[in-house]
Amino acid sequence: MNSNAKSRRIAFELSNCYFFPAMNRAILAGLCFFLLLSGCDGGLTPPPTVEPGIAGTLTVFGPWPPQDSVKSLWLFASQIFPLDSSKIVSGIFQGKIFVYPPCCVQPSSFDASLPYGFNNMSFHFPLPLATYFYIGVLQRFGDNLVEPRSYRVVGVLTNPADPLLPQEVTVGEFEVVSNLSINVDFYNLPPQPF
Amino acid sequence: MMMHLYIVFLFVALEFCVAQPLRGVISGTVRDSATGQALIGANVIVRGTVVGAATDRSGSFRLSFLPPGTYTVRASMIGYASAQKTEVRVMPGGETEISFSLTPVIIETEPVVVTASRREQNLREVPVSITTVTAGNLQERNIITMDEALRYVPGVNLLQDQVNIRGSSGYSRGVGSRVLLLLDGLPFLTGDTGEINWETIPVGEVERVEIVKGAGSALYGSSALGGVINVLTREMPDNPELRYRVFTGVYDRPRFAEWDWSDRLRLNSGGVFSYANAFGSLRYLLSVSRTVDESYRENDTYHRWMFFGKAKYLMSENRSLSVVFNLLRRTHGNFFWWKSLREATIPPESQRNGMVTSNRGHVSTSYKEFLSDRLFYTVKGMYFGNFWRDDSLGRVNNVSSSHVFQLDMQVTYEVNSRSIFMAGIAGNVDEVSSNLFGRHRGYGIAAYAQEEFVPFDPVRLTIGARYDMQKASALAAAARLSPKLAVAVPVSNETTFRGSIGAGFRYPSIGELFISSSTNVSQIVILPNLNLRPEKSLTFELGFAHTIGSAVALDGAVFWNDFKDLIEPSVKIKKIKLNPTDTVEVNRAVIEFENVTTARVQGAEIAVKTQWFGRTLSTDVGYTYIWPRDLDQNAILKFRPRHLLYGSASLAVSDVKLSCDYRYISRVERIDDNLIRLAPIIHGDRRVPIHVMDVRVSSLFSPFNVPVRVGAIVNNLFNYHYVELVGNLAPVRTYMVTLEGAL
Repeated sequence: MNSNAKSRRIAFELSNCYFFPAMNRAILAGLCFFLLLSGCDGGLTPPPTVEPGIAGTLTVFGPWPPQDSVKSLWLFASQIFPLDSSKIVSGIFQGKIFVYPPCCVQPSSFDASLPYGFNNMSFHFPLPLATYFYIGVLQRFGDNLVEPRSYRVVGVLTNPADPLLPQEVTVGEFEVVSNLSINVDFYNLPPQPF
Repeated sequence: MMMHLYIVFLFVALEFCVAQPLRGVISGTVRDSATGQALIGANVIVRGTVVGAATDRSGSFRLSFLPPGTYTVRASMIGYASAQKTEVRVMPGGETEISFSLTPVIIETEPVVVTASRREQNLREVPVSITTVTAGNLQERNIITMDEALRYVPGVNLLQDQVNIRGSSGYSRGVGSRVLLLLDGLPFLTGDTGEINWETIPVGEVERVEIVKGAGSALYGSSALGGVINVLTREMPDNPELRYRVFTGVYDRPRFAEWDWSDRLRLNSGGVFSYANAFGSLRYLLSVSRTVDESYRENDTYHRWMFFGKAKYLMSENRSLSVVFNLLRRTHGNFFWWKSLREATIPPESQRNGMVTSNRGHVSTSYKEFLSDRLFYTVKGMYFGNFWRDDSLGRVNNVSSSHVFQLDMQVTYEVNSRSIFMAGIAGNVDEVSSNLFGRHRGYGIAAYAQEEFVPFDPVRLTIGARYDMQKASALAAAARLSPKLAVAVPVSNETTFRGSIGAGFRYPSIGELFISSSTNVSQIVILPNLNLRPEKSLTFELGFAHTIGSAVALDGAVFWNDFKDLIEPSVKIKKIKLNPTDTVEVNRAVIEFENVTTARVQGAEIAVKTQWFGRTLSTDVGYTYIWPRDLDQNAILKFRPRHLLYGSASLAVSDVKLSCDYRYISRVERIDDNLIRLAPIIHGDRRVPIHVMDVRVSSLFSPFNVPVRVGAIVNNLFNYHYVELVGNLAPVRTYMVTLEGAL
């Protein structure tokens, strides 16, 4: 079949389709579905530049302990409270307790720490959307990462209404809960959870 | 040892190949009864013999090597009703011509399948849910690796390259598969991690893929927990044939500038060339394929060479020997997950220069002999070797090599027209050497039997069982009996009811048993677990198939699958000795594979195929509802979606065909939080429902009287961004042109 004849045949068959009411309806239904889909959103989008989380300042009162006893110093936010000794490490692995700088299984990240020797610093701590019942500063002074006795809490975000209790913070979508103030005193520790 | 015995057996079999009496030939053509067009790739077989052929590009076939006598010849092709001619006489040295006109039918009401019962049977007689993907489907969609084809099969979804049939599998971090992949009927899983390696399958030389949904261990043994996928390579024509298929395309830019990391469009190109011919009673096929994919993500390039060969030697009209081999070399960037959703097309720094190099190959042989019209046996053997290493900036991190030997001998006896008996034995030897898994050897031996019979019309009962014994290294052997009971009731030409109950199991892979991190990575220790038990399943299904006129075909099923002892990696704090000589145990975070989950997956599936206005417009819609529950935690199973909806439509006018596919997969409700925490995968919890539409158009041209099919494809038309696996952005919109033909 030469190309002209072929073109005529295609045109004929298409016109047959076009004037065939049922075919017409089927194609129309397909087009409607197509247009409906094209109006859908595009799926995943890059997150906003500002990560949800908490922000504020850390203030250290009094002297720092010797540097070799501050293996790591992390800001932590826990969805669990009260804590007991078995939950601090497993909570980190289970995603119930988050630490800053980010902690994970990579050695470099475990070595990550807030800087030694500061008196005052601001922080922005990205967090998943959740309610956090216990926020504070965690010092690791022991060598064993997974041994609860290697840790102690050296500062807590306290409840203004009752300074003996921690303050509860809820992080919503696209929200940074800011102006939080956490005091650290290495020689006057808050109540220990373990 | 088993392999040696098998080779000796083959040589002995070849000795029988001596002078034969004067033979005759049956030749002819196969055409479409509606259009008169030649059908390419139709299968023509002489019943009760091993003689068969596929039609060439002019629809011709030639069945040679037949002793004088009277035969029954059958022609079949998916999408057409099978046709049969009896009393075909072959004279000494003569050539008998016959022709077939096959009537188009709604796809899958007529095809012959082999996976459900380890023998050829009409789909109407099959008592389990089964779906076929044809070579035509693969070509139309420009499928490059087989896993892509499964994304259009009702009840099946993929987490990147891990296949999940009706909720049986989640994401197992690259080890173990709860779906058994077969290549020409033999298990095709890697020896170290027991996973499916899709890239090793020569997609260009595949005739069809059969997907059986539900446990298949009663016939195929370990890993057939949630289903079986059997890839069947194509038969070869008697006449010389050169086929080619080339494609090239580009990835579009993502919707967001943050993800547009490359200063140019990324290319994806490749091609496959194959040549088939016959020398007397020897047919052979050789092909080479090349794929170069620059990817839409950084450090995700993919280069692959593959060589494939197949030969079939008709030793007599009732004996044949086939040999299949392929070799593959691949290099692939190490993109495990994104840096963050903000930089979703860039890997973390630690993966930026990583590369995995794989060399894989297999050789398989199959000997088939008809001892009478009703009795035949097959002997199949395979070697599958895998070697891979991953390195970064010239430093080799992990290396693994594995060798798998398989042997399977099966006897099939048609007792009478109402009863078929089949039995066989199978064995395997696996050898693994790896810095991750150590040096280990695994063994398996099995015996199976099945009886299909008609106790009273129209009920067809199938009863079968398989006994497997597996052993890995010095561990105690584990044995498992997997029974099945199935019934098919074709109450009329239009309606068939079916039901089945069957057991499945999966023996843990050498990787799961013996993986061990000798380096104390960041105080997380990966421990072997030599106490792992096999995973087990019990699947139950009721279904029906019904056709309405010649335009509509329905297939529906409800299913209930129970799983026990599912193996998953667990993260926990455990007291261990850091060195064997230590006297004190210390607390450490450890990862161990454990039998942790008991699960139940219930659901329903409906598939509707329609053809309108002759075959001008066809549609195919499948919906699966899955209710997957972790009974231990009383929660939904991880990585399982609840809803799968797949649809496709084709409009064929003259030689032009316009098609589209649509996929909807509901948002996965639960994922593995530990995977995100420990990796860590930043924004790893971000996921959305999947809506993907692909469109394509193709047309047949005949410049200089040489038929050429030209196609254009747009995948992910709306450039919808989603993840199948956490931290892995799925492909963006892709434009592709294809060119294929045969000489």
